[in-house]
Formats: sequence, C-alpha cells, structure tokens
Amino acid sequence: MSSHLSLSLLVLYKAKFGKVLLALLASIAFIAVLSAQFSGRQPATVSLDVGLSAIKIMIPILFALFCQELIVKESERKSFLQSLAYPHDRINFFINRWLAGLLTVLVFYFSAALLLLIIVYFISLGYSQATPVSLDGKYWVVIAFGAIDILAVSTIATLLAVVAQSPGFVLIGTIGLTIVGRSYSAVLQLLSGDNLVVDDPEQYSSGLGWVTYIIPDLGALDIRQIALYNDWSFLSSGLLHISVTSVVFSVVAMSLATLLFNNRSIA
Amino acid sequence: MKVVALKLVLGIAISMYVMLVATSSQQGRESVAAQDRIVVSAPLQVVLAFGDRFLAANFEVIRLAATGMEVNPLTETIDGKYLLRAHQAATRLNPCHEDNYYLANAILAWAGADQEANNILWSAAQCRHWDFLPAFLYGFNQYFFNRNVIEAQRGLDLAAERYEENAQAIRRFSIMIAAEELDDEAMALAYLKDQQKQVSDPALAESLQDRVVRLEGLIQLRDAQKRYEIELEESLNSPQALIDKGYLEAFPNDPLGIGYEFVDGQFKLRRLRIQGVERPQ
Repeated sequence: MSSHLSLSLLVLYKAKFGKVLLALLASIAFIAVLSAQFSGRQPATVSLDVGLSAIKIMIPILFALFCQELIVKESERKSFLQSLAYPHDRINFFINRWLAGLLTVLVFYFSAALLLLIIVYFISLGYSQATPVSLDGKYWVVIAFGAIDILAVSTIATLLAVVAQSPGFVLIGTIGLTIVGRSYSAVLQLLSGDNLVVDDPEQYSSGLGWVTYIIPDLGALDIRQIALYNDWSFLSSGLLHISVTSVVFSVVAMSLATLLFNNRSIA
Repeated sequence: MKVVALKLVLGIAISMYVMLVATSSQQGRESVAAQDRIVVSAPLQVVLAFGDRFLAANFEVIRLAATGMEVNPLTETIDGKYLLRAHQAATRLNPCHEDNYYLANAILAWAGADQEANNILWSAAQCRHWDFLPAFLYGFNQYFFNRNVIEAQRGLDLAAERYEENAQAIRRFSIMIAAEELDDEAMALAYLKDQQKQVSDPALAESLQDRVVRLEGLIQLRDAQKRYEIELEESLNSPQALIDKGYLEAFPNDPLGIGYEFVDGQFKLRRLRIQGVERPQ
C-alpha cells in the first residue's frame, strides 16, 4: 500500500470516522427493521427498498465529509505544505486521497449491503409474501450498479473539494448535484403529461435536456426492482450505455480535479 | 452592573417573547387541518426524497397506512380527496408497490371511488406483470361496481393467464359474469369478510367493517325488492314503496355516509361525486 494511501486512511481514522460508520450501520439496521412494520403485504420488500434508499442517502454525505477532511481541511490547516514537500508527487498524493475516501466508502457500502441482506432475510422468514424478494445474485447486481453511482458521486465531491473555498460548499454541492443526477430523469418522466405542476411539460423537458451533459443519469443506475420483485425484466436495455457514460464522466471529473489540484498555488 | 442590567434585559425579553408567542397561538386562526391533508406532487416528492422515487413511494404509502384509516376521509373532510390523491401520487412514483394497490382497492373501491381504485389496480397489473391479484381485483370491481362485462373479462382473463393453478376457476368466474349467473353481492360480502380476517392492522379491519355494513345494507335492500316483486308481481318503482308495503322497516344506514341509490329499477351503492371527474352514465 502506498504511503499516501495509508496516511490518508490514517487521517480518516484519526477524525473518528470509524465510530460514525458504525453508528450509520446501526441506523441502517434500525431503519430497515422499522420500515417493515409499516407494510401489510410486503414487509421484506419495503425493508429492502427503504434500506437501500437509506444507504444511498448516506453515501454522498459521507464522501463529502471525507473530502472535507482529506482535502479542504488539509488546505485550511496548511498541512499540505508538509505533505507536498519535495519529492512527493502531487498527482500521486491527490489520487491516493480520493482513493482512500472511495475505498472507505466502498467498504462501508458493501458492509451495509451485507447487513441489510441479513436483516431482510430474517424479516422474510416472518411473513410469506406473494412476491418474495431476491437476496441472491440479483441483489448483488443491484449493489454492483450502485457502486458505479458511488464512483460518479465520489468524483463530483472531489472536484468540488478542489474548487471549494469552504468545507460547507463541498457538502452542499455534493448533495445538490447528487439529487440532480439521481432525480432529473424521473422528474422529467413524471412531468410529461402533467399540466398541473408546469404549464408546458414537453417544452420544460426539452429545455432541461442540457443537464444530461453536466451530470450523468444516476437514477437509471438504480435497478433495485430486479431484487425487490425478483424479476430480471426490470433491467433496461440502456443500462450498459448509462454505466459506461457514468464511468467516463468519473474519469473526466477526476482528471479535471487532479489537473486543478496540480496547478493550484498552495503556499 | 452592566452584566446585571444585561441579565435583566434578557429576562424581560424572554418573558415577553414567551408571552407573545403564547397569545398569538390563541388567536383565531383558520384551521389548516380542516381543509384537507397535503399531497405533494410526484415530481417534487422525488426531489424531496433525495432523488429516489422508490423512497418517495414508500413514504407516501407508509403515510397512508399509518394515517389513512382514522376516519373516512373521502366523505368527512371538506375536499375529501386526500386518500385518492395520495394513492395516485404513490402509483405514479412506483406502480409496482403492492401495499399501495391493495390499500387502494380495500379503502377506495368500497367507499365510492371504484373507478379511481380501478385505475390504480390497472397500473399495478401492468407493472407487476407476473401478479394475478391486481388484474383479478380490477375485473371483479369492473363487474360489481360498473357491470362492465367486457372490462371485467379483460381483467379476469389476464389474472387467469398469470395464475395457472387457479386459471380454470377464474375463467369459470369470467364466463358466469358474461352469462349474468353470478350472485355478486354474496360473493362480494364473502370476499370483504375474508379480507377483514386477513388484515393484522386493527384500524384497517375497522375500516373494512364499515364497508361490510354498507354492503349488507345493499343486500338488505335488494332482498326486500326481490320479495316485493315476487309477491306483488309488479316492478318496484320507488324505494319508499318497500317501507309503505312493509317489506322494510327503515332504509339501512350506510356507516360511510355515502348511501345507496335506486337507478333503472335497481339498488346500487352510491358513488362519490368527485369534482372535475365526469362519470359515464
């Protein structure tokens, strides 16, 4: 493991993120168990559904906080002056900072997914649903596509951390852009034919087409219905395209962030 | 000295503030709760749920399950369409949601909003392309509430395709509908009582009980009409004649407050008048 990576992980550990992650795991368990109590016909499905939503809400917030700690606060504390002293390579240093955050988030993500699976399994033993959830391969396919969403969100947060003047901007900006990325395709679809919310939904949809160039359609990566209803037919044909788009977007955002950081005047 | 004065000012300011807040809340304000409950439009709900339409659907259905059965909101509030709008929003967010279509059928269809419940059931039948139940309920409702045999058979045939083990019974049901050989009130009553036994939520069970009583009232009316027509060998022209000739002591009371109607010589469950929605006659 590179010294930059281990140092970055140490920074997160020292910032007591370990306890935060454990508290978040406990809250996911609580949310999953509680939400099942509100469903009369499909407690395991609702538990899995709400549990996945809780994880997906926590990830961008968590990564934005990591970026605050690893990039913005380092800059504020002027500890970069020491970290980046010759012969350290800036690009190597920066990518390892991002990688430390991404690895920690992914470990949390897969741990949370495993915890949710165990909880939903026990809930599904209680009430025999007409349509049982899938906790085998389909569930892990959902989790895998969720990891692509995390990759894209992590690069958005990292880019914002480089251009941010204050730590709060990273958090607000990451949350805002994540909501835009995850919601715009669903919102445009729901607006079509709905004259109650906007006057001319078709024009509204075409007017917002440019958003697709700013941020990929992260909502399309949410394929949880295949696990919720145990049915592969919910996979859309455009999934591969949107996955590749999201990965390429991540490369663009990360390259841009690294270049900006490399050219930044730190002294 | 300055600190003492500052503490004094702080104490007086806090007391005044508490007093002002307390008095302002006592003034006569228009009660918002009396208007109707708010249902946020589906696109906005997606944004509020962190861009997650599934979470937004769950929030709406959990709200319905937790608060929807307290009263009969379809009739007892001024607008009275909270349940309807909330179910419709949840359907747009996730038409596959099982609790949503099930609650909509149990609560809306039997409280005078069968057409709206059928729209929700049909959306669920399209999304849940493996599930026979929404298609079956759609077909049943189309026959029982609308006497629409074509739509009823469409729903039942779809249900039969999806439920191989019971396909024969469902198809027989469909044929009986076409031949008008079905004792539909008794079947509907048996179905409602069965639903009532299955639910674990006491609020939902109580709400279904109101619907059972409403249906028993309809059966009472139709029985009286049948006896009247057999014994007197004439068609019933006015419901009042049942009381005048002693076939009924009093008209049955509908606990949902919607009542019954006598149209084309037949007693029916009265439908809810929904503003802006024109029903085919």
